[in-house]
Amino acid sequence: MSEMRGNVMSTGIKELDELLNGGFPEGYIVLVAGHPGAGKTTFAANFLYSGCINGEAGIYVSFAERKMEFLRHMKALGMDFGELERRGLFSFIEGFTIIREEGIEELLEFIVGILNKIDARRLVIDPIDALIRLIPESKARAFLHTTLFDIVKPARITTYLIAELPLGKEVIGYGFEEFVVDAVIKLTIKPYKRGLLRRSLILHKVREIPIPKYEYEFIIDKGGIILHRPLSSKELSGSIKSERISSGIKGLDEMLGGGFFRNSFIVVSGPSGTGKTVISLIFAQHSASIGEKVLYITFEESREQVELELRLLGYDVKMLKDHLIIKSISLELLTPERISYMYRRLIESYKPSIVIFDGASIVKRYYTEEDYFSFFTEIAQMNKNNNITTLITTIEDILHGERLEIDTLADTIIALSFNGTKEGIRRTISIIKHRGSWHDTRKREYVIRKGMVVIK
Amino acid sequence: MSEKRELVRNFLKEVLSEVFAPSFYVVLEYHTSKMLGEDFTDCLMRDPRKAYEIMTKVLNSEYTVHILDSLVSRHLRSLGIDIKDSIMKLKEGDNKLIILAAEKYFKLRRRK
Repeated sequence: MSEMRGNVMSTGIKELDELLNGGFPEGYIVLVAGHPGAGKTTFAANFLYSGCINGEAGIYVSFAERKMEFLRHMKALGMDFGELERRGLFSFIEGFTIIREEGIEELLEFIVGILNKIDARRLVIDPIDALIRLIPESKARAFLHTTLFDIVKPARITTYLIAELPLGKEVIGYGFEEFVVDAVIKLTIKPYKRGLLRRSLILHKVREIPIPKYEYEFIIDKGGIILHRPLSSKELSGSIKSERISSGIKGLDEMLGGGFFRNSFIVVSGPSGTGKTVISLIFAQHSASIGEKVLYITFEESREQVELELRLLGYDVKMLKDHLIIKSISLELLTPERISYMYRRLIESYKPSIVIFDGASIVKRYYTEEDYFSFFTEIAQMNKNNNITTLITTIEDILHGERLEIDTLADTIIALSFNGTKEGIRRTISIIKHRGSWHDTRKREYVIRKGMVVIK
Repeated sequence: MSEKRELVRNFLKEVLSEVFAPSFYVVLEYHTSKMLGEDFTDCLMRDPRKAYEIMTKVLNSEYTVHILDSLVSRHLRSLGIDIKDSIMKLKEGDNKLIILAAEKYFKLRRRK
């Protein structure tokens, strides 16, 4: 594919390159239109930086930002353009304010001079509006198509033209720019929940590359833009294994016909007080004690609280420290893609074999139901691909008719509930689903005694 | 020679920008410097045939150069300068018409 398209130029954004089969073909003109604060400059900086560090010189012509601001902002994101400039691989042109059409020619001559001087392969003009708004509309198309493109196209200089998109406006510039370029990318920023803002990227048009029009959320972190995209079908490689792993609870293992399956996705669901956290902590402790690497994520409690609960159950937390990592994550200031990115980094760095999410239902309170489902779908896929067994606890009382939204993701569903009797309230446990295995279908009572769950 | 050169250069910059695309002369300069290492006007003064060839390359076809020539002729006529085929004559190695057009163009402007 890439041979047919000639050389491709990386966008500097790994996930976007994957969508574009490596990047944009050499010589492409890409219109990047976006709302203020949507990340246009960072998007363009990613593109230039990835070229420069591979020896492809680049030029940033900016009418929006001063050079020192640009260098400082990008250095904070881990892109040291100052160093690249010293090595002759990068040039930043502060586009002076042009008030007459004739000034465009001076600027173009200047840009052309630098293009030749550093033999640039990549060019960014930010924003292009600053140039074409000086020209009557009838001439603007000719300027883009004939003047600018006849310089960069034959020289095979891949170019990003940045266009301002006022908030609430969807048409780009004069409305014709998108028809004369090879690709159009729109960056938007929209309010989410709790006053959080969410950035997203839409590939409106990319010549020669069939790409679904999908809104990809992204975040800006060290390294610039990190695109959040669903795993493709070819990436879904993992599956549950026939190997069994113990839940740490003898009676539960028996009910499951020998324990959980490795790499499976297990949901333990029940209302408050039914013992979900205790079951998840026992599983974590037991697994860690036999050498598994366990990542325990709680959305409800602090790490100290979880450690205290482990101690109250009679476990020595210090003994487990190399095999049990406890992470307390507050969702208050995190968008779904940010938490997803954090999780991805956690599993890349720690490489757990078991991940436990305690209090998963809280995700629903912070995000939309759709995002809740998407988040755990992604977790389920990612973990299976990485040979990770997952256990999550949720608050639905399935036995009393409450629906578990993520039931389709689960390989195993354990329902906890209460039974009212003359003697008082008793806890019950049932296996609702256990893919690929016999399991006990009875509703059993259980008690928590001295750090142990005893099933009657 | 250098005065004539400047006259032709400014004439091309202005007229091509007006009738074809803003700042189009920069495109010609860019490609001439890449191909020959010299200015487009210098090339036109020294070797008109080469200048015509560069225009054909930049505009992808002789047909487009022909259209450009018609646009320039029409523009000049609207200003009261009756010179035709000034660009097409370059193909034959003749740059006299372009020089004449440039002289008349600026003479007219000075008068205004």
